[in-house]
Amino acid sequence: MSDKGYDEPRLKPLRILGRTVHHDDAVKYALLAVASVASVIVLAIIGFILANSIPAIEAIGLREFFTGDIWRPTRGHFGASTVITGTLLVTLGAIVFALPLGLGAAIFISELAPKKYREPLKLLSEIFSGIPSVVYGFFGLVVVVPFLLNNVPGATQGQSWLAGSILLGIMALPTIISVSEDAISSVPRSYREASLAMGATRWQTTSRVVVPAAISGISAATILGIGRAIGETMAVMMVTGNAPIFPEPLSNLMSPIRTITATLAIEMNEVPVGSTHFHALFLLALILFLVVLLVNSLSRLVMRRMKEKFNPTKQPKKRSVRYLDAMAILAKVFTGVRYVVILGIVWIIADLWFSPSAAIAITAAALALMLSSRFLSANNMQRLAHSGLTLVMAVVLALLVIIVGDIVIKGIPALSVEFITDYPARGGRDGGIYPAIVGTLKLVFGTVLIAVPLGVISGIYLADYAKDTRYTRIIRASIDNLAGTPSVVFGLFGLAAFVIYFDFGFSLLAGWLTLAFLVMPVIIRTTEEAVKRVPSELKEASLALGASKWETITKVVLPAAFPGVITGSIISIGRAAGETAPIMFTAVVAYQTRMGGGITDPVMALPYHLYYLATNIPDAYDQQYGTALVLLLLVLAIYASATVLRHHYNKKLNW
Amino acid sequence: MTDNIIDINGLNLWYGDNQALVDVSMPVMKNKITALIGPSGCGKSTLLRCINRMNDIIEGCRVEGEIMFHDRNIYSPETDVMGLRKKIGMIFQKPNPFPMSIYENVTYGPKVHGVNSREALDSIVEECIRSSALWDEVQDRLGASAMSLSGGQQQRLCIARALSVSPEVILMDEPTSALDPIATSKIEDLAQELKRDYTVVIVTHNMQQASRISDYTGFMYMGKLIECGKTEEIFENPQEELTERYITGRFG
Ligand SMILES: Nc1ncnc2c1ncn2[C@@H]1O[C@H](COP(=O)(O)OP(=O)(O)OP(=O)(O)O)[C@@H](O)[C@H]1O
Ligand SMILES: [Mg+2]
Repeated sequence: MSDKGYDEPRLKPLRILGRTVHHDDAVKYALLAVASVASVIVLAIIGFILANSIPAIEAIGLREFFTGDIWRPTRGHFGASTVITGTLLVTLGAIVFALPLGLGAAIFISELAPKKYREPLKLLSEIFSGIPSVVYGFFGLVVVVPFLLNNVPGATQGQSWLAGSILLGIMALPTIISVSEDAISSVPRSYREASLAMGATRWQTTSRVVVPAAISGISAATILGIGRAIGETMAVMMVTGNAPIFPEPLSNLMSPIRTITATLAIEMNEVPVGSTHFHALFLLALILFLVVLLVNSLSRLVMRRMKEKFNPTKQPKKRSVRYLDAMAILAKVFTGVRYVVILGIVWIIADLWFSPSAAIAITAAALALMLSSRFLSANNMQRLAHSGLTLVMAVVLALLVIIVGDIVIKGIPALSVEFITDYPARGGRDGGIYPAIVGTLKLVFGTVLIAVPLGVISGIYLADYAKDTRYTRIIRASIDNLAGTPSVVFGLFGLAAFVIYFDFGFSLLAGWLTLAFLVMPVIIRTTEEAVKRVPSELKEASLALGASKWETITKVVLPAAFPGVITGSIISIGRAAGETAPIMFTAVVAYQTRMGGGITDPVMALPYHLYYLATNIPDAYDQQYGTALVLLLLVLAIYASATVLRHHYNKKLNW
Repeated sequence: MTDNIIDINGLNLWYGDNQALVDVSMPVMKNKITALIGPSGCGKSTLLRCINRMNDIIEGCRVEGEIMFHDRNIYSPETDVMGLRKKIGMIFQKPNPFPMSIYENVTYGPKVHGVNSREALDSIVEECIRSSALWDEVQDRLGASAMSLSGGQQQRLCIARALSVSPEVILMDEPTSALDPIATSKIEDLAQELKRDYTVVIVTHNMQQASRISDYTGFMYMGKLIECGKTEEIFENPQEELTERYITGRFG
């Protein structure tokens, strides 16, 4: 080093556009630019979808669109009220199914399970969220639908509202379980102690103090579950029968039904680009997007307020006191109406399964049971409640075992070397799935190549550079919205933007871009979290040695945050590998006997192949199960490796 | 005329393999205030929590010995733990009102124990909040969230909540350590009031507080009860050198 080495700045300020820009500032603006990509995408999604729906508004009219009840685009009827209602009904049913199970399991995990079983139980319930939605749909089609058909008296078909709600309910379970479990276990221990110290039983403490205190988190969980259910495509489409009608009567759970998402998925590939029908589908997507946006914003609001809640020594702000009061009222309403809700459900199901007179008797019996619980001693009540919770947990685990078990057991006989290495034959009835496997790997590879750099850089920016300004808040909100946007909306966006507007056609490239934007939020979040967890002493030590902020990040922070970043990337791979809706309008074909090599060629992919076989070639049973198993194993293996990695490093790096 | 309401005999306690109480024996006098003092980590809170079996909820905690309350060993298997905790209430270091209204905080305990009539609950609320010297400050906003109270008010609400199930004994674990001096002196005055109807056991780090408000004092060190007796005697004429060094601040 020269004598005057101290005086000369090691990193010379840059001259950009005639202005002197400090080195760290230049880096900061570069990162900011990348982080803004998320906002640009959200704007682009809104822009493309809005632009494509306006012609439909002009041609059809919003009034006709929302109130008309005939959806027959080929005849020029664009009344969407049946499909909008369908979406609402299926979602409602899903929540009615999932909330008791999810909340019960969450309470069990947090309050009842011995400490050493808590983590394993949480992990198991996470597996639900790893199963691709097309696999759920397949399971629904081959197991749930026939089951309903054979067991519901008088049922003429199994593809129904009920089937859709059951599947969506199962799919909403992991969200509800993990978010409520978080909320419940973060209720301060001191509340539990105060209650127990007054001689309350554990169950009284749980039901009267802990759950009401966690009500915001539980509502957020429910809302998130609703958001998930509204946006779900493949599973619902495969099991609801897709008839655009109102159930007759409206409580007829065995009626076929059609959702917005299913309409998009079924019709999008078959309409002439630019027709009224084409634009009407975009209008549906716009509605879907806005509803999900609203739902997700609501859940975020609720969560944010929850954080201010558990700080007893600090006086809360006026606003949050008012909010607390509102939440207390909500908790009361919830406790008040739960009997009515439970009885209503009992009645509807009994009516469906048996007969109207039996339904009255069963409902009355349920009512009597509920009333008599008031006369139980506190200890017996606790015994009853704890058995109930244990039962709920068992049901949740049984569902998991049944779904995974069915596919594994029936899929294994279909597996063979040829199945993996051969091209399909006779339209998929024979042969293997080689091009689908390769296609999925190609899709995943490119997706990761695009999404990881964008995501990691955005994550670093948010963790280390972003101050809480309006601009960064917009970026954060965009990322949240992107994470909540239904995958079918990504598919439509990909179609409008990449396939048509940029004229990439049905191609690997269009699939890459679409999937990359879909998985980016996951990578951003995990990176941000990982970077934030690097202890500030480490950063300060580096800065104190005279390293620039950027050097500190690349040489100290990133290596320390590496496991977290990798975990996020792996999870995004799993997600990309399992998604169907985003690629079905952008990149995939059902059948190939020869693969194209370029990025402008379409590919086959496992999820879409499974969908195609399940819905078009019903007798190709072995092929279906074999494909489902390969897809399931692939995705679960990816998630499992992410989990193992996370646990491994969490143990090792115990800051 | 006073007598022992609680007798602790030969109590040992382990958290896993770590012994936190070693052969502790001491009486607690009825309608008196008993203070537990000693350096941090010596087992004061642990001992206090044994008295209403709050240690039951800690995994891996094991107790030997006996605590007699009304001539029955509370650690005998037939003890009704819920009933015991109703009789022996507890106030914690950090005020921990439930995130409910002031009114509901006080009615929580009675409701749990089966009181449901509106009039009975109303009168319990008024009586307990008056006893905890909070009535004037909150009487016109009983429906407001307990979280809107100041720290000192919250702690007095917690005392009202503890009184709501008519306990005989109130255990207080450093009830003033999270409060400012004015709120502290209110709680101290309140403790003096309470001993007419209740028996109080209070853990404190503050030697002045112990000597100001307590009738009896126990000094603990490393899980052992070194010495206990009348507060004046402990402070003016301690029998053990360890006690003397601690109360004169020459410790360590
Ligand atoms: N839940 C627990 N699990 C394991 N060990 C514990 C637990 N609670 C306390 N201990 C241990 O028991 C010993 C006594 O703790 P205790 O809290 O009773 O002390 P203390 O006198 O109240 O201290 P302080 O004045 O700091 O509150 C300590 O060594 C502590 O580490
Ligand atoms: Mg203590």
